[in-house]
Amino acid sequence: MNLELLSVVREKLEVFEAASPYNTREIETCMEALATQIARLMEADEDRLDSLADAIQILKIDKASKNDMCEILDELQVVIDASDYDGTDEDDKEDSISNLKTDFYYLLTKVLDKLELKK
Amino acid sequence: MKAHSTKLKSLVLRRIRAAGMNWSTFSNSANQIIVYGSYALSANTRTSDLDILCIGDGNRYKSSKLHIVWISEQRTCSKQWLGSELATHVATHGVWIKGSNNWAHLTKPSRAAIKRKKNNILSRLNAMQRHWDKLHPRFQTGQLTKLRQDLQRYQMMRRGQAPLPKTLLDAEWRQYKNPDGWAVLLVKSSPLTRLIRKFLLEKKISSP
Repeated sequence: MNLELLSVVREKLEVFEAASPYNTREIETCMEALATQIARLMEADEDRLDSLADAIQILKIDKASKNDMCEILDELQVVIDASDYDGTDEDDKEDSISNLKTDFYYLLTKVLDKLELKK
Repeated sequence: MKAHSTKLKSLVLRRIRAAGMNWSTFSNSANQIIVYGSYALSANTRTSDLDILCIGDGNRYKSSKLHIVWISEQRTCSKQWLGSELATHVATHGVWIKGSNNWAHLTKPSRAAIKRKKNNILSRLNAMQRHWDKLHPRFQTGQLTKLRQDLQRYQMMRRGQAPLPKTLLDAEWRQYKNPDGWAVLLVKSSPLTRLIRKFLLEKKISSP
């Protein structure tokens, strides 16, 4: 595993976690940058990537961890889409976005630590 | 128009049932059911989802085929709703399949909605600047498309018009005769258009 590429993935993950829950554009762009960098790290075909969930599937980790992360990403996308609608009387979504981002951050950090140890 | 509305009603019924919901329960919870977005304008593609706005009491639903947004009856009278991007779009392009339209004539893009749109554009532009070199070209293209669609909608809202769905924005973009569509969109100089132009120049982008 290329440690330089791994550090770029970690860096993008940090930026993703730190992004304001109000700034969904930054969060979405971070997710795409993270997906791109994971594909590079795993030397996978980047042209087949559509989302961060696709990139998670490339990681050489157990299925349960993949499912956990993809579930969080699905939920995050739904909340981000909902927050994009103005004028509705739904509750503010920022707390959910923050929590989901943090959950994803911890899961992926654990996975990256394991991958680094395996090296 | 009546035929279009009848066709949409039967499509809504099918999609609601396919999503595992009971039509009677769903319909009874809404005083008004309105189809908006690409299906309302007959601009849907194979991948379009069916967008429905319900006035009443229910929960948001989202899948690849169906998207339901609920607004309470009380909310339809609020200034925030009447000035919102969604309300102005639905009011102009929506097709009522249940209930009567008693609020649409009051809508107009509010200053707050226009500012929100502008802030969203600036946020995306900042994010693109920060992450551009780490994005796969496919994601770069996607980001540029979203930036352009947001800018088109922002400009429509500034003119007091209701924003169009993505498929029609894309069709409008393809119709520009100018070799560089961005030049058309950025023709009016403002701090926002200058920032976008600077970004496009830095990244050596013409028509995405």
